[in-house]
Amino acid sequence: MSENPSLTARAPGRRRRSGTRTRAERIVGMASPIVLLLLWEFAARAGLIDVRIIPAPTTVATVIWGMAVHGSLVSDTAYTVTRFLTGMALGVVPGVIVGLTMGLFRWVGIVFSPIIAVFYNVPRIALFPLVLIIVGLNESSNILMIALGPFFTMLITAMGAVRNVEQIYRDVARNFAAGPRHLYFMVVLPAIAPTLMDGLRISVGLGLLGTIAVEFLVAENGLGHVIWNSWQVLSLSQSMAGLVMGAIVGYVFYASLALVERALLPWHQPTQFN
Amino acid sequence: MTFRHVDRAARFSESEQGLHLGGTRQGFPGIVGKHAARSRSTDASPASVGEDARSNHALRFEMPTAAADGIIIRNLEKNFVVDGLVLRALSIADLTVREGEFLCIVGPSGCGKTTLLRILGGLETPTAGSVECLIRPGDRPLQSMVFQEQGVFPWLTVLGNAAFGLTVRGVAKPTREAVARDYLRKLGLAAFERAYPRQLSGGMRQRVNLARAFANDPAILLMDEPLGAIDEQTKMLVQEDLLHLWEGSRKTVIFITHSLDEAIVLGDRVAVMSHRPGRIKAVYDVGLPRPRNALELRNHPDFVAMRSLVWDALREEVLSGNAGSPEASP
Repeated sequence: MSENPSLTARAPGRRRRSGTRTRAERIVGMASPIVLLLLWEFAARAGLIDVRIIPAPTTVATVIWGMAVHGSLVSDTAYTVTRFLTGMALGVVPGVIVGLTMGLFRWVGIVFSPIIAVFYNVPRIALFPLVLIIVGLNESSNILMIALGPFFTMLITAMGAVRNVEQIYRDVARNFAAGPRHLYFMVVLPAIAPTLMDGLRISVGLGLLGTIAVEFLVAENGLGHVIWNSWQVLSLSQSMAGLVMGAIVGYVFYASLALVERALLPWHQPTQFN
Repeated sequence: MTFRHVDRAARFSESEQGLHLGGTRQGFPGIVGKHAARSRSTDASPASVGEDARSNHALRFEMPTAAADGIIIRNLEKNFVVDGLVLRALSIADLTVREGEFLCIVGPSGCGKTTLLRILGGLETPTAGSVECLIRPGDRPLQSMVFQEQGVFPWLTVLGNAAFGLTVRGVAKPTREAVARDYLRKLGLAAFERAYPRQLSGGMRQRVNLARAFANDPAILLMDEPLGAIDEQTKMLVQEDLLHLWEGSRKTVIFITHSLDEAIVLGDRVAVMSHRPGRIKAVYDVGLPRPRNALELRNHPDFVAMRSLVWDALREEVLSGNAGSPEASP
């Protein structure tokens, strides 16, 4: 009322949100990977690297195109994406729920923390034979393996985040006599949401790692299968094509998290990461 | 008044955020609640019995036969255990807060004034003693706290923050938004209802905090140095707003501050607390006319006289606090 809003509200341009960039920053941000590709192309053509092992980007692009048109690259990519998304969903959602429960309820945390600590630190891929015996040599085993990484990551992230919710927010909720539903959905979940987004970023990498790993080992399709199979027949450019497609898939999901974050957490200063 | 009994360990999982009125005495039937007392046993405590109620609405008061009102605090003690040592934070023998008054509590840093407020707000349990509340909230909540600036939820819009208390009480959306908007308008925030707190200045954020408490319409407002982090000029403007809001409402206010000027500008009475363990050293009637103007009042001769009177009492405590224990420094 007595304060002049134009003086107190943040004037646009005077203090930029750390998430938005100037045009120059955006151009440089997009140019740096392109420069790397150009250097790679130049090095390949100039004979600085062995193109039989690392083909030039243009060669890889041509191979990808050929495999997409004449081969099964599109369906392999679709298999990988489907496995990845299914595994992510089955890992992230239970991971958050279990982590929240362990963070919120002291005794649940005390009982399950040691168990989680043991299982988290087992190299997950070493569990695969056991999973194959128990669940069977089928897609369910693959999805379970993929889900494990995101599950543990989100569990540990959510548990830690709940414990670090500022005391004053809990005090406000208590003083206003917030019931459990409002406590979770209006206070705890929003308070930990930015941390969960960070956990999700790590989970994307782990989920993709798990997907490619199980495709190496047992799958009949998918990008991991393409990479491993091409390598075994020493078709290195096809192997490289699979690798590049995998990188593109990972990048797309990683980058789209920024859009998700902006849509879901409008109050939060988005982290710039791509 | 109100202790909310929430087991510290499981406080986040507590499903019953029941209110508990400590202290029953002869002739005072207490509160009719739904649940039996789950009062923490405070062995030395003569009182601290009462009944829980599921929510503020569930409270019903029956007036005691002996005429009395306000909040009566007796022999209230709070000890903290720090590294195995018992730290006596608070020791209030007798303090009565009158219904409808604006009571300011000043004291040196670390004197336990915030602890007192947190006990009243149900965020701490006292080690011993009793707090009786004879204020009838009717169908309103009994008390709400105005927290420091960072107590505003960054993930809720200004409107969402202001309506928070009403939302958790289950007030329908059109009603709660209308009430919240009304207070935002009175506080000059109408144009910012869709903004998020980080887009606001500190003074505006603190007004959101005020709107949240006032929109909840409690009988008692507990304010914990709400203007402590605001620069002097803005502080005077927010004080002005607070006076306007309160002078129409006749709510009982307990206002904690370290600023003597602020205490005199706002309060009907000013209580000075001693250095740790916090005791009530003296209570002064301010006696300045209302409605007050926060800006002009500071030049009023009575204000100046009152300030020097209270400062004499406060100065000793500040000095002994600073000399006596280094951890009590501001």
